Amino acid sequence: MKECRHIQPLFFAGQDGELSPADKQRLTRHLESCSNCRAAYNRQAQVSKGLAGLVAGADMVEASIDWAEQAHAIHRYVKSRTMGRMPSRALAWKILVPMAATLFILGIGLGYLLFSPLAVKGPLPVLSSEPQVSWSVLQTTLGKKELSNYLTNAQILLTDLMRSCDPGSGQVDVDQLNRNRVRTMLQQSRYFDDYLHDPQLMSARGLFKQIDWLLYEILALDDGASCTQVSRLQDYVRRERLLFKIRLIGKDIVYSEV
Amino acid sequence: MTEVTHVDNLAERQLILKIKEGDQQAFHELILLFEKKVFRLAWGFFQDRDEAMEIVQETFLKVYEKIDRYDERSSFQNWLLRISKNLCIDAYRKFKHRKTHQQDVFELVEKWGQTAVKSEDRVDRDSFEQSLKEGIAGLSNRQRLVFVMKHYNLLKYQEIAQVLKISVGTAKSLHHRASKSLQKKLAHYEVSE
Repeated sequence: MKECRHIQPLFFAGQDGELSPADKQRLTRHLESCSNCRAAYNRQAQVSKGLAGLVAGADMVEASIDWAEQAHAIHRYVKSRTMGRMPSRALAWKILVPMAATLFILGIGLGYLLFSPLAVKGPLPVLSSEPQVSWSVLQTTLGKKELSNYLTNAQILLTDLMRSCDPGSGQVDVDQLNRNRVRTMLQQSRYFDDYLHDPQLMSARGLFKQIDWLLYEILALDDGASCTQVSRLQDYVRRERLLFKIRLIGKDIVYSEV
Repeated sequence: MTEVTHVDNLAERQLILKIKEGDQQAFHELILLFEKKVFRLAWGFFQDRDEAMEIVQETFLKVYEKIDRYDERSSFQNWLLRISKNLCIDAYRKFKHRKTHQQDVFELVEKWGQTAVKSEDRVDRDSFEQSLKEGIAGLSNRQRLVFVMKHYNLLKYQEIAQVLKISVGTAKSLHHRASKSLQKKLAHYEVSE
């Protein structure tokens, strides 16, 4: 019985002539001595014969088909179902990858704007009648270098003024030296302001007006300007200067309201 | 179990590479190369031309959609047949239900209509083949797949094992059980020693 279990899997191979000489001899010897396996082998032969008929039927069906025409039909079907889109990898390489690369670059740019040392940290200071500034317009009209110097000088001056802020009285003590610096600053603001008479640049004038007005106030007050006012102006100039630097790396920022 | 590498089949690999890049002509050539093989598997599984043709179409649609997932180090034919067999299994349940319904209709037609006169030998042969078909249809999906791949697609056990992701021993065992089951089904036919 144990031998039968090992022999029976060889039936198909034996009938297909796929057995090794040793297995063939083993099968023949066993069939001669075992009537059960002989009957099973004959039944298997009948199955094989019937199967050959079925396979021949498949051959006939296969031969009756125009495979070239069929290939066209299949291709048309695939095209209609995929709406002519490319296989996913081609799609990825030709569309998705460039798209991802563009998004990545934009992401880096945005990240730089938001998190770089030049970026404005925290809420922006709010001034009355906040000016609308387009730095690309300003730097074209006034010159990149002049504008940069002006803003740097303004920031240094305001920082120095804040150093003389007396927390007790809340006033900035403006000495003679700083008064002279404020006057120079005012002249420069007015000089810039004169260049911006074009109605299209009127909005940019606000920046200098704002600086001008606060500086004038500092000069007008004999007992010194309020620390809060100077501080607000300092924040404002710092922000404009940062935005101007961002403009220098190719970004133009126009904002109307904070 | 290791997959047979087909590094030598350069033309086939180039064709697949082109398809991955979106070459429609290459895809058409691929259909021409493999449509018969898919048809034979589906025909063996369903014994029905329309159903087999539908499987061929769906197989190539899947191939087109998933070609980027095909690993060039493995046999393309095995990957293709694996897709086909999955589609066959998915479609079989619906097919069986439809077939049972059709069978009822045919039986009624045969009962009331006139059957063609056939020779006794022809009737016996047709009846035997019909029983064999029914026997194959009655096998489990795995047994039927192994049986069809072995006898219709003429695949070796090792190839069958790769397509079905089973061991060679399991493939042989499934085939043996399928054979035993068919012998049992056809036992009432006389066998001369």
